[in-house]
Amino acid sequence: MDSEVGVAEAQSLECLPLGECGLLLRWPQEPAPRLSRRIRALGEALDRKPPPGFVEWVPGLRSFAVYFDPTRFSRAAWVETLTSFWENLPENPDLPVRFFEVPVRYGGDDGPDLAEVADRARLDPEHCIALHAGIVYEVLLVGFAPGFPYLAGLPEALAVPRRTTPRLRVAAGSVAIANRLCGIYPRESPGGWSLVGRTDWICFDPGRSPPACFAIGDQVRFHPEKGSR
Amino acid sequence: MTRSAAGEVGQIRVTEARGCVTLQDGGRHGFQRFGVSVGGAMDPHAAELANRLAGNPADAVLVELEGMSRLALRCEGVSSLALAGAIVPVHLDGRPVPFWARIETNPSQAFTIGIGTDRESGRWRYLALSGGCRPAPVLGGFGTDLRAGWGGVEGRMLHSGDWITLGPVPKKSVEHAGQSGCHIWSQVSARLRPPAGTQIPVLRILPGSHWNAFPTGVRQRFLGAHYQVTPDSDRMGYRLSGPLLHPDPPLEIDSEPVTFGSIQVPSDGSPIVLMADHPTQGGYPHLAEIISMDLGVLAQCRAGTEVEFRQVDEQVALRALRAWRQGVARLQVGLGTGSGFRGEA
Repeated sequence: MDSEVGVAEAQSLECLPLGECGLLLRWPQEPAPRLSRRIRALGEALDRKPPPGFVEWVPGLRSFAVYFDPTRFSRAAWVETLTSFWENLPENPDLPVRFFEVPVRYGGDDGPDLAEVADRARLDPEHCIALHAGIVYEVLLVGFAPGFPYLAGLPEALAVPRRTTPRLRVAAGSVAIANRLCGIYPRESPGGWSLVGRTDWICFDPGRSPPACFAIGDQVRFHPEKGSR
Repeated sequence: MTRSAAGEVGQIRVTEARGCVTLQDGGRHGFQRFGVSVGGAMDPHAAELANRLAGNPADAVLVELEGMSRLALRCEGVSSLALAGAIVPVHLDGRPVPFWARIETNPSQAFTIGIGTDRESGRWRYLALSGGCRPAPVLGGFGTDLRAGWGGVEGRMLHSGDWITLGPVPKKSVEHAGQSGCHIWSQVSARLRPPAGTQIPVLRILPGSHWNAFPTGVRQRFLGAHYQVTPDSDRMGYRLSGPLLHPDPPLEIDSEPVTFGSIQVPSDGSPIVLMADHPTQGGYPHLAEIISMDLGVLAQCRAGTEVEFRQVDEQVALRALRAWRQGVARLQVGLGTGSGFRGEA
């Protein structure tokens, strides 16, 4: 799969505008752990050698934004710099990735959509829990809300589309799924993903450095707590 | 000059606060990669001018008031202040004071400032005080993020009874202070202020990252129509009503970075402009981007205001940005040399 991705990548990396003070790189392939790790490595390379007027970089699922002062370093110069950084990255950058085991209370009030997910998958809820907790996920992206991890690796049997009507209020710590992704809502917020469980795990602490618990490339496994059903 | 208060630290006490009154700054940069919003002043240019007039750095922490909010403060150790943004009646010890001007006060005398309301003027106004407000920093920024619940004063709107510490009074401003009361030291030239009047605001845009996914006819509809700011608009985003816009064929978006001024089109076809407190990632097609110099113009539009969009070249956006910076630099020179006009308020 990785070699196919490599071919697609060579075809067209788009450099798109994001206002006069921003630039967006977008890759043509599907979001995937290898691409995300290289996107993180691109950001870290930029941190080591930031051009003048650099403000910050922000990763996407298959994109990368950089914000800057265009009067100090032009868009053309930015495109050249980023392309050169990208081309000089190793295929498999060496990142300090970590492994986390996150306890989850599945089903019931903690995971109000578990039964519906099980119905769709034509499985019983226990089987769904076993599937969800039976694999190691990889962080593709942290964003949307402070510390929210987008986790790749959800088994296809559990893939559900986003809910047609998003909830106005999703409880903090909710473990949720949508399409082939899994995520953890770090704080109470609106949300359109299906809620399968809940954790007390702290995804974000503004007093910590870095403030987000998870980083791109980290490995995560969920561990069902007693009483999950 | 009877005494020097240079280096003295001022403080303010909130005696009345109603509505959305928060402390804001130039934004929290460098943490979007962890999902943290930039935030900061909704009208960044009004905020910058207020700060410059008060003798502060452009991104110093100041008080932001929305719409119909109301505020009264007891101030000590303040040598100058300035108001900018949507004009309302403001009184200093009972006397009216103007917007867009540097107001000199005597740092050794306490005074009261009251900021009223007005249904007719814009939406956001700023009060900058010499030295700037000094709340505790959170993630490299000082501004209030109401959804995250951090920054400013305990991550919330100001309440009656709050105390806010100010930074040291800049020495230069003390030298100008009179014996008592307040003086207008310098005013912002009309050229730097946002356009006032009844004309429909024209917001200049650059194509967004999904511009080409919208058929030419749809883009023409967007550029040819008036859009109205809807009541469910806030610090996170302004929703617009007008002709519906759809990409063709429909697009599924993988979460992608977005910024202040990004115009996104959800599946219902009504555009949303992301504002200061926008989430770091967007999941809808990104039609266009408002140039940074016009962000404050949109921010000041109340619900019901009609706006229109005009596509410009990136060079236009860059020229506007440079012209702004030069204008602000000249204002600085004016303040520094005392070439501004001076008169009793």
